[in-house]
Amino acid sequence: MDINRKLPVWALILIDILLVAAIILPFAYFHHVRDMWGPDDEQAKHSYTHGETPDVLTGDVFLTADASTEPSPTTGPSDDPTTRSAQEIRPVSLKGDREIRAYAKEHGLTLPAAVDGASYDMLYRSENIFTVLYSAAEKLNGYLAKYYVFDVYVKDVRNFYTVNSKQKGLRELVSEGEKEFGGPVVAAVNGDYSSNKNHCRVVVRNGKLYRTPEIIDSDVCVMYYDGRIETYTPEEFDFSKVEAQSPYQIWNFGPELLDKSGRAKTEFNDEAYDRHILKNTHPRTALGYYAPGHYCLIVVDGRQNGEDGEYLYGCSAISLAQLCERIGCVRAYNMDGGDSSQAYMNGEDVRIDRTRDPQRVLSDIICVGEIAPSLQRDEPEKTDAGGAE
Amino acid sequence: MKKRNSAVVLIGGVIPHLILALSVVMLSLFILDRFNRAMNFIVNGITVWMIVVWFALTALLKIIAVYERVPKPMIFLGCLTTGLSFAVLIFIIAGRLGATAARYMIGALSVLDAAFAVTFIVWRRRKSGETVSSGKTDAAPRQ
Repeated sequence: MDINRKLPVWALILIDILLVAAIILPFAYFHHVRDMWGPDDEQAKHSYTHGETPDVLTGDVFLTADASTEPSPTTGPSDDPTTRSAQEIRPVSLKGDREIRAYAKEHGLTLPAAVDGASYDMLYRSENIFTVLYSAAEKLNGYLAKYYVFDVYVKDVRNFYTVNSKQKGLRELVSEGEKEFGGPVVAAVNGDYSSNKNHCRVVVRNGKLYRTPEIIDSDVCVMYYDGRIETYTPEEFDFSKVEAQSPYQIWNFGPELLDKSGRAKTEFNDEAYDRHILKNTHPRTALGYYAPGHYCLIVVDGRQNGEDGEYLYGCSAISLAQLCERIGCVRAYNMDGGDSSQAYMNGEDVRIDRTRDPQRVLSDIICVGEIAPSLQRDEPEKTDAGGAE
Repeated sequence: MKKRNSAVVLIGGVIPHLILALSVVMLSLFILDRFNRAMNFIVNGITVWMIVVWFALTALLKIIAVYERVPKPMIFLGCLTTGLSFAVLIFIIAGRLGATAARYMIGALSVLDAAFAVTFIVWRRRKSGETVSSGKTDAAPRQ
């Protein structure tokens, strides 16, 4: 039977429409529903061993027993465990530019060199974490944007962790992180939308491999157990070499914002990223790296009015790259943006989309937070009581 | 011989519609990909399999078209799409389906394959009409 002869034209058109629907609907299910919003069926396939993880950072930014009681501008963290256990070191949490500047002056702290016109919004200081949040509103390449920068120092990379889940609000993910790691989350921003298998080809979270890359077609960001962060183009990324160096986190969204010499990139990988999305202004999130143990999380507000009623546009990827270069990052990597750009610090929302309720759900967040003593690195036995180096 | 011809007639009747539907889907994915590259509408396992099936069906239709001796412009269109299909397959095998050239080839192929399928459907309808009016019961290929 020749259907083209037997059936009228309208019936043939109807058949074609039904056929298109029969192909599109399963595609939509597998591509958009199951892979992005489906149940969390992924189990860790492998855990990376980290051997002797060094103190990624030592210095006077962390709170010591002395500093928690009286000003001590020059002393580093106490290395005597008996002193530390004997005295409870209570973290310092401050809010407001004036108070933060006064505290820094009193304790001889050098605050991160914020850009002109920036104000310090929040500070958190403990014996393991030092985080300052500063913000500024300015025109980035002609478009007004407000950006928030979390300047983060951690003594151990494990205080810089991720929470991976499926489609939950930022606050819910923060609560999950606090429950899992046994301590308060100090700061959190959205991650790389890891549940979307269509672009997030490789997932390593907190030293556990969740998704092995079959194909890498966009830039990759790797944080190693020794505190380094490296960004790779698809051509540069060699998973076996990365695995050999004990990756702690691998993000796959991008693009990388700075070149290998720390200069802002102006051209991005056209094959992996839509030129228009990168060039247009949107809210954005980025991870920046200065040195092992010293990072920054940047969230750019946009697509809504600011607190003073002026419209914030957000920024382009190029503007974000220039901002990262300006604040001194040597590596920087773009994370998921738009309504996904959300930030939190010390129990408060720093950046959310104020025009929507509820907020867009996220699949993963990057956290800076205290962790339970049982999860902390075993202290190496010291043979002599040497000071911090 | 009659049974074989019936199979060709049936397959030749159904395949162009499948190709047309797949072409429309691929064109939609190509357009969506232009708007949001990060969602990887083209570079993903499902689409790769759809492209392979699409090319296989198109190749089969071309064989049927040659077998049924379609007019030369249609043969030319078939050759053009075959060439482009091979080029896209090379990109797939090389793992470079994300290349801008490959994406545009898929966009072009979806238009050309849709045109080929529609032309084939119209040609068959006309041919069937001619054979019915001339008193023939079925469209047997000339040999």
